[in-house]
Amino acid sequence: MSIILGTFLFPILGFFLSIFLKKIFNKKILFFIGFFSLLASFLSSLFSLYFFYKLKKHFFLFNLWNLMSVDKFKFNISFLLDELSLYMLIMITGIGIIIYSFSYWYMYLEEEVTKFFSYINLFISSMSILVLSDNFLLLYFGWESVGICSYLLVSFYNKNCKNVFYSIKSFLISKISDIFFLISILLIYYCFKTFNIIEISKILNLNNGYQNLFFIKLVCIFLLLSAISKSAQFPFHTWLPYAMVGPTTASALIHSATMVTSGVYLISRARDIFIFDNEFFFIISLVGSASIVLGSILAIFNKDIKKILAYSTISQIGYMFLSIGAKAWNEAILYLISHAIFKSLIFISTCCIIANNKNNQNIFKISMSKEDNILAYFSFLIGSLSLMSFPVITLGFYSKGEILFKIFESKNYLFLYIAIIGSIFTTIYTLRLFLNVLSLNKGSISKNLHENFFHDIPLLVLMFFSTFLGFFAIPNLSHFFCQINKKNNFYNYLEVLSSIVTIVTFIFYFLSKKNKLFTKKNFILEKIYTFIIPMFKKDFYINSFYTFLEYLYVFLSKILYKDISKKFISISIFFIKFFNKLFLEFHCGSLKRYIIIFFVVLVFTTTLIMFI
Amino acid sequence: MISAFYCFILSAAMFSLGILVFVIKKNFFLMLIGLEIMINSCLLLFISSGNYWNDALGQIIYIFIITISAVEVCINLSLLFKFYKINNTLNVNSLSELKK
Repeated sequence: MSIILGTFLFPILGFFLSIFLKKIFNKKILFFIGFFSLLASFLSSLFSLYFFYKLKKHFFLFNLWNLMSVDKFKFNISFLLDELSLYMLIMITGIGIIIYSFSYWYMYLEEEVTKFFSYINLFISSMSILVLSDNFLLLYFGWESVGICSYLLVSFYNKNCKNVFYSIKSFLISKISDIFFLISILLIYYCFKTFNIIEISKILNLNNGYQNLFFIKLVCIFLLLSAISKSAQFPFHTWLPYAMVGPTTASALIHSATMVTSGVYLISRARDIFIFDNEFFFIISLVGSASIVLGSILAIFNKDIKKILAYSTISQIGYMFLSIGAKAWNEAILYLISHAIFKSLIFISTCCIIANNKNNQNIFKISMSKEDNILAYFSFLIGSLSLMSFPVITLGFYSKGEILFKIFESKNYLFLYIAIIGSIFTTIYTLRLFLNVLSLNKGSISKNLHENFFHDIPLLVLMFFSTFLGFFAIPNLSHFFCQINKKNNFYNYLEVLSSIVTIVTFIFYFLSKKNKLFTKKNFILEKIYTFIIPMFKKDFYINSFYTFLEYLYVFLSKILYKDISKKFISISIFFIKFFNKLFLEFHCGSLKRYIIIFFVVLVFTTTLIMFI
Repeated sequence: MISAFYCFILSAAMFSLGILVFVIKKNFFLMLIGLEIMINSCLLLFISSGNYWNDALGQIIYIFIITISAVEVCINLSLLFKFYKINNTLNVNSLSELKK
């Protein structure tokens, strides 16, 4: 079972090798060092899954070593292997290696591409530590290092000053999550005197129960806040569009498939704490629904292709939060994995589109036809269809249908309506995206990159899994989460309903395009345009709120720049200087002054003696 | 009959005058004169206080001190001669070896 070590040791080995051998080898050899280390980590995760099923245990603990132990406090580097962590691990390493090999084709002409390769290796290793850890402290280590890797990859094109500022901004906003997470870990230690997740579950599931509800509530609040801001949900979502200034492949790996889903993973990991205090599921659902509606509306009104994809990621993660709010853990993880597959497919086909259009990202100015790159064309099409959950043929349809059914079962009809409205919006922006980008007429675009093996294989693999065939590859964790799956007739009704909604939106969109329904010439819609549209385009002023906070901070810092305590300190400095000058005057070498001082001091002391 | 207080005042005035002379003048000789004035003011104090308590001890101490001051003046004047021979001046500040 010790093969599990390979999942994070191989990538970190590849990272160090590619850092140290930068000057010696060329790009190709460095790429293959990273490639084989990632391949080794992927294979070791597969093997560990095989051994896990051989052992037939519910979970498996793998203790590496004890980092420190003070009295009763113990911090072990130890791994928890169960179905959740192993499938997450396979998803991370698999998508990691696919995107890594694609980036060899896409970024080969970049100057510092070796840096990119090494960062991806570091990211995969830290992400696997995050997923595998059995205590919250090690999870926090992975959480932080993932954030750092994200920052490094977003600021990859650091020749442009704007990109660096955006990367700092996104890093700082996601830093909020880390601080909240640290607070929640400290509170957890205060409550349970342990960091270990399984021990915490045991303490919570005892018959007499845990008494101190107030601290559990606090822990839940802070864990939820950290998960929300890492997963770019409603109040903290602004960092994700800013993170799109990095390389597109890095965005595909980090900001759509793996890192942003770590918040969902965290809530699934700490589910016993959340189940103990049932209040928070409603809040999780609220956050998820707000993100769905907001992200999809913002995606409708954006022009930048990568930002549209970022907003769509926000709204799709909102679906995961919504399903967690309905206590459908299995469906959330299922949708997490399927979303990772089709969203990374859209992203890497976007790479091809952007590369063919001289790095232009405005959807009204770029175009792609079948003759340019037939594989990327169809992969973008299939990924988009899967994103809007096109009936029957796509992966997204099945996984989203499960979520809708679970929400219906939990009898929160408001959230069901919101999910359906969200799927309507999703359909609209996805249609707007690929109808503007994919053109049917012949393109005559000069290519600077030619397709090869590393371009074809990742697209083909992800395309295969994004169709309905992928649904058989995605595991069912309902046994692991102790859920009961009863599919009654209404499941089919819901599937039919969601497909009808999608198709009706399809038809309506086409009609509106033909009749020019949504243009400024229509009198009724003109007022809506003048009042509401600026609000949509400006991110509902949430971003402006953050900039307002920034200005507030700058204002306060300007006030506090003149330190009041400095004045008190400078008084003492002034005294020291004054006395220094005074006593230097005495010590000048003239006899008379000495005599005067002598007599003055004599008189002074005698008077003192007389009166005291 | 002069009260003792006036004598004290006189002696204090003389003493401060002696200090002033001692401090203001650069000349070694004049500084010695200032010293003498100071000693004499002390003597006046002794005598007047002895008179105040009807005691002969004040006058005895006066005789002691006047002899001692005579000896002191002798030593000081010999130092003055040596000083003048070496430096060709009576300016005391030339003695100072501390560089400013």
